[in-house]
Amino acid sequence: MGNSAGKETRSESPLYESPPVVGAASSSRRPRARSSGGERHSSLAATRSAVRHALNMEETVDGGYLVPQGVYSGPQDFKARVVRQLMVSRCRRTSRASSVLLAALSIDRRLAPFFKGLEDYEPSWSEAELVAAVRGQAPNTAAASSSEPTVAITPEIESTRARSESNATTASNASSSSHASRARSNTVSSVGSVSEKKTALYTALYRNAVECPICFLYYPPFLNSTRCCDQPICSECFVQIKRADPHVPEHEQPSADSSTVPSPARVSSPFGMIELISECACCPYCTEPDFGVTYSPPPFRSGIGSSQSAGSVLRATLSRHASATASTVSIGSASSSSLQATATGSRPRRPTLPSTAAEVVTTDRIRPDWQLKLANANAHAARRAAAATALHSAAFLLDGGGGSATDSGAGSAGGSNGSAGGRRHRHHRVPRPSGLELLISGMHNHHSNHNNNNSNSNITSGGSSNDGASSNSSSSTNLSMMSPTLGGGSPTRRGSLLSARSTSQRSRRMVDLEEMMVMEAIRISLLEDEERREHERDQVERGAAEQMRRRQSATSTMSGGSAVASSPALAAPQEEETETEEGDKQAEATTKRTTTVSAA
Amino acid sequence: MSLPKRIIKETERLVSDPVPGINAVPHEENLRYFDVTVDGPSQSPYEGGVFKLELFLPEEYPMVAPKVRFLTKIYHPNIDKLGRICLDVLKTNWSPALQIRTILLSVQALLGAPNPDDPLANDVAQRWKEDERAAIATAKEWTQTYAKPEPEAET
Repeated sequence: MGNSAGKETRSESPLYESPPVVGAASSSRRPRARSSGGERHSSLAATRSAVRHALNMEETVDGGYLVPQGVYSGPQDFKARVVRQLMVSRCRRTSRASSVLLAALSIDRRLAPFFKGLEDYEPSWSEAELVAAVRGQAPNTAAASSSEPTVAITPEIESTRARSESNATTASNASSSSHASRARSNTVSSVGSVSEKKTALYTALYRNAVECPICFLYYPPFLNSTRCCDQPICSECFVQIKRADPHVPEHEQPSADSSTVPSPARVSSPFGMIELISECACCPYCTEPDFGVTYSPPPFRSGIGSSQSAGSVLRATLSRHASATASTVSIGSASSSSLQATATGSRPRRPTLPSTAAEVVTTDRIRPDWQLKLANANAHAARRAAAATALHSAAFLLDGGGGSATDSGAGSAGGSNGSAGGRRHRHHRVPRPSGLELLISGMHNHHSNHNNNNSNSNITSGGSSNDGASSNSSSSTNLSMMSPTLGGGSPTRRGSLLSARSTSQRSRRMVDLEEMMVMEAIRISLLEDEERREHERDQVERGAAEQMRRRQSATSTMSGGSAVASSPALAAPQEEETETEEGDKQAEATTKRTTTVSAA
Repeated sequence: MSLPKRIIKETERLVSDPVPGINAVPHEENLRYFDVTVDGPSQSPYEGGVFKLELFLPEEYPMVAPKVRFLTKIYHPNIDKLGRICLDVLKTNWSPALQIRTILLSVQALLGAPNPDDPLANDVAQRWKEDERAAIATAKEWTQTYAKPEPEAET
């Protein structure tokens, strides 16, 4: 347990003004801690993970722990390592190396440790009562969170606590002087009785305890305070507050002052679909967005134990913010610039700090993966949208190109002919006539390329339906990517073509017409490819393929016929095409029609 | 599963320091489930009515909002016929610093200030906008019919 030993030692390092006490305490205790740690290792032969767990359970900073103490039973999804680092310092990795090095390293305590919360607290409590309250809970929570490692380490805890108290005593000298404990704690530090030292630490910490307004437990007054409204919040609650899960944007914004709400993080997504957002966490007290907290460590760890600054310590324990000032002044080391900002503003009441301020720990900071999560959620949604689009357009391609489509493809899509016909319009928004020709030619090329790969197997063997589907889906993906740039019109209803003619809904009819033309263009390109392929085949196979295809076209004409019911407008050209199979001419016809449409 | 201290304390404080016009009592078998009554605010169509609600504290409470629902039938643009309530602090604007007490006060305030522009019961909101007087009359009528202080007045 050089770890905890290191921490304690480190924390003592800034105690420049009181070297004798601290030096004595740390030097005398350190070997003991080492030996007890060694004992534990050898005697229990605990697994590495168990040891680590135990370490985490029992490590303390400023008298608080580095893992949550079980106020919230749900899953903890914050980055424990980040939190830990914010609570302790950067020297954790090297803590086993050498305590001298540790002592030299600076501390940056940016987040309050997980103090043990007291269920009750009365300002009138005597020291004994206070300690009893703190102790009364300690075994419960420890046992609840981890049973055996805790038991295993018990002696270690004692020594750890003892050490931490030994330097806390210097502070409690001052802070608890009203309880006439100055003399006693002096003896404590020299005698080193574990329980007495604990008493001193607990007294120093929990005197003037404050209630966390969220979990309703009492904590030492050295709690985090919100950057915006300077309200207390314990770390246990703080780590629970997080961004909203990725979701589709709703009309309401999280807070009334929508002007100050930063635009929720957006990740641009392809396919023109609605992007998911993840709104930043807001302050639970004042709903200021970008929730963040600051932490003012207790003064006694910062080295204000000496007689000359005792007065300031006393003051510090009375006022949390004053303590921030005092400790900052005396530390004057680590993140001095940032701390000074806190200190200077903390006289009457600290002003609101920006979320970007160096000393502010935001909820995003302890969940650095939120952007990744959001991006993942968006990608997932995009994939699903693309898959749906692909499915629809596959059905539409096969539906539209009934004559030429493969057996397998028709089989996979055939069942959904009707429904696909109904839905596809959402995904194929057709451009203004001017852009149509461009689109057609684009589609044309595109499909030629694709079918080079796949149509062969489809035609001849009626092969795996996957092949057909994949080619279609990839092409349709392109389709859907195109559609936003083409600025599609409003979605139109299926089968409205005929009725639209009779009604005056010209624009809708136009869109329908355009849509049909695009379909035809795609179908034509498929046909062309197919034909080319067939010519390239050797004669023997070709004959077989020919036969097969005839059979196919017969069946798919039938399926096309069934589609007539749902889409009469589409069925007419389609049948015509299956008969002729003159792709080029059809293409010409289409473009002609396009021009007439655009003229209209 | 033990009950979080916060819930215990909130319950205690609801008893020791009750809010006038609001009463919340936990079920004995499930301390997360509360029977609630809210008096209709004065100067509102719901004045004189005593509305029964149910309130449930989910597992994640206080990190998520309590679930609150009207049991008494009520004619209100932001409360639908299933008793569900359209109230921002019950949804996106929930904050863990809010409590059972404050949320019930918000519900009571909603009775005093219907917001037909953000409706949950569309028909009621429509009527509220078109003919507020008639809508208020209906609300009063429903209050008299369903929200009488007698226990059997509940639906």
